[in-house]
Amino acid sequence: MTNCPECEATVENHGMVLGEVFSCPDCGTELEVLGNTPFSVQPAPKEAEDWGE
Amino acid sequence: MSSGVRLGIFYTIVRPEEKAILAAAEARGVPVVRLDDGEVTFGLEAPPDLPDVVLNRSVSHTRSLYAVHCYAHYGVPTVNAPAVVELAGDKVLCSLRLAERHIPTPRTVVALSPEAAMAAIDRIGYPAVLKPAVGSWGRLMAKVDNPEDALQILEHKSALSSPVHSVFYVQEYVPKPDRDLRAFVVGNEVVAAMYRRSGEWRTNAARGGSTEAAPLTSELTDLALRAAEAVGGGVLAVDLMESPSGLVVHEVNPTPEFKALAGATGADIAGRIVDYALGVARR
Repeated sequence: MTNCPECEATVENHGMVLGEVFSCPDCGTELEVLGNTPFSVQPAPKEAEDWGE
Repeated sequence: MSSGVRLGIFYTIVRPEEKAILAAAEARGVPVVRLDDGEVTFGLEAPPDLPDVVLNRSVSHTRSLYAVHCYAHYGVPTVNAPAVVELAGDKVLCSLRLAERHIPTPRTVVALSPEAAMAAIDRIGYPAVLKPAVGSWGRLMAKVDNPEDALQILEHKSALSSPVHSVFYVQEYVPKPDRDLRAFVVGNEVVAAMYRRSGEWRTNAARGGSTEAAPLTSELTDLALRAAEAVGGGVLAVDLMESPSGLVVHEVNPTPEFKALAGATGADIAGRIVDYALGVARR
């Protein structure tokens, strides 16, 4: 487990892979898995104007 | 069973779609080379240890475009091919191609200044729809109901600094049911289709619209395959609307999401994408 960089809530890795994006269960900030051993996260990249499908 | 092919996945973030693709590759025993679009660099000479095919899953049109050209330069096939990413990733170029191929598509006028955009909207008539030429998920799209709205929206767009917003893509507002259609094309087959419903005029699943499986009628299949072929083919999501005169294609997406479609239809879309990529890999 690690802490959300925004609200410091405890976040756990439930089978997530490197680069996976998820929401902090407490504050809802979009987080990205930075590493699995040890588990670390960072705020996910912000949506840019050219993002899409 | 491994095919001996190394599959590169060029990505920005790992969403359920990318996770499903990684799982599908693992299930097939296919080694994956992860290519983070924020970390890779490209020289003019091909680096060693390139994958045999690169599946582009970057959400950035700009990064996608340069990356697929670089991999093509190195002799590595990409899904989709550079010309497809260029065409389908730009609504203006895509509309031109659809029109050239006589594929039914909403009336569209492009303008390159706010003043010309006002004339373009007048030419389309009210209500009109204003979309960014690049990018999607329904962001920064506007339904323009009258000239007063048009002036205000154009003023706001003029205040945005990105050159993307100096291109004005104006389309007729198509009166349609509270839904549109997405057909997912892999190679020469429509693998699944869904209706996307919404209480608002934008029906993008990314905006929270609900979804349900749609039957693969001959009209839908034929039009989706023609639209995909028009932009060069590959892995493409063709978005269509049910206009009073029949189906019209309003977008062809070159890096499509499919979580909602897989959920609505049960189709193994990730598996189909991986199999397609393996099929175009260099040998």
